[in-house]
Amino acid sequence: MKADSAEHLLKTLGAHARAQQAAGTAISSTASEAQAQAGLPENYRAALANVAGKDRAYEAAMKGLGMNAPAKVAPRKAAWWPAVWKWLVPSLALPAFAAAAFLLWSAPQGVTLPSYVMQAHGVSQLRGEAPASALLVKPGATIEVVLRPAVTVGVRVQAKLYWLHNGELMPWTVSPEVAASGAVRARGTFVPTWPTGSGDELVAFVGAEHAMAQFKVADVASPPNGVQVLRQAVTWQD
Amino acid sequence: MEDLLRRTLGRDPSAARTLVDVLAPVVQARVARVLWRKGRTPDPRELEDLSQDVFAHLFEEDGRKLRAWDEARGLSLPNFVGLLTERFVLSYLRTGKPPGGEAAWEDVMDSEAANEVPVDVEPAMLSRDLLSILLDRFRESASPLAQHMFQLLFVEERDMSEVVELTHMSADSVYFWRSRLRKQVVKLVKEILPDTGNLPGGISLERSS
Repeated sequence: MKADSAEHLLKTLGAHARAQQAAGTAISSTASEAQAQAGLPENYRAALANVAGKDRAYEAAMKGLGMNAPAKVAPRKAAWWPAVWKWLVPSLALPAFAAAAFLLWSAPQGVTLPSYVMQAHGVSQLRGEAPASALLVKPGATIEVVLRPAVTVGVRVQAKLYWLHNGELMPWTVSPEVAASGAVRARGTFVPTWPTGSGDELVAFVGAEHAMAQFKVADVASPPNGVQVLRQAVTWQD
Repeated sequence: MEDLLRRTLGRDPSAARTLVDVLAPVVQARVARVLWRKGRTPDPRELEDLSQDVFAHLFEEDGRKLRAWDEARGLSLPNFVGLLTERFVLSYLRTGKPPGGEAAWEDVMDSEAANEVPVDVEPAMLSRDLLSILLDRFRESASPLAQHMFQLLFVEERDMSEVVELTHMSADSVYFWRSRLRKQVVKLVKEILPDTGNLPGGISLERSS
């Protein structure tokens, strides 16, 4: 099959898929949740209504993760157990609580995040393009920023983003998403309230959750331990 | 949703329970839709059994398949899971086994399919049944991302710039995916034609399943 013939077949399959989606027998990968749930014939809807609860699905999921599904009903205990339990709990609970509190307090303090790099681009710039030394930003256009760790991070990470103009930091009100790897992605728009030009920067602070909890904007010159500062020069496009 | 998945894969039982509650209707509806498309009689027991098998498939090996989800590619988690569900059910109904790993698809495309002996098929002459078989085989063998690219490029016929924006890929990557999809079709035609008989001049075929 030649390339153009394969392309033609793909287009034919695409048209066939459109017909299936219009008839409801297939669902688009861009469908909304409501669309995906709608359109089944009555007998299938009735069958779905009779499907038993989700416990089996939950057990299958837990098994895949190497965990035991918690029992829904606590197993019966022997008659002697409550008495022992009554004695055991006070004698063990306090040391256990103290140990847990110590671990919670001490463990995160020692966490050092791998080094991060910031990759930022306007949506109009393609990923394949060589990065410019300064990020070209059109006021109001969508900007995407990715903070990428050298290796996967083992703790919860937070990030905050600011625009730096004349030595002053203005928060960028976006909600960064944090991936399981520790990579952070923020996407949004920004319109500066000052005359645009060059010399501004996009500044990101990233660190473990406990370190970021202590972070204040005033600490920019000397951020707390564990908080990394990443800076990207910005040129505003008129 | 991303946080819920992250906590679930971090072995948080309550997050896992919530995620299953969220995804169960998606999985069940997708199972039902494949059975409907295949003309099967609806049976609550079969729906439940297949749904449970899908969850086992999604979470096996420490949730490896779910870890492959990347929201940045423009595919929501429910749609991602929906595609994996259809893939599982189609494979299970045809072969009695779960589908092969995603790696097989990605790798085969670049090595074997590129070396396939050319096959002459006139798409306009193919029967709808054969198109349905081809489409189901594609859904069974392609990764969720490949299916999403097919949806954007060939079902919705979106412009290259739109696909670039929706998937956060470079134009080169999108072109590469287009090429991969072509190779996938070549491979599927080679697989299916021996099963369904010759297609001299694109004569319609009887449904094989």
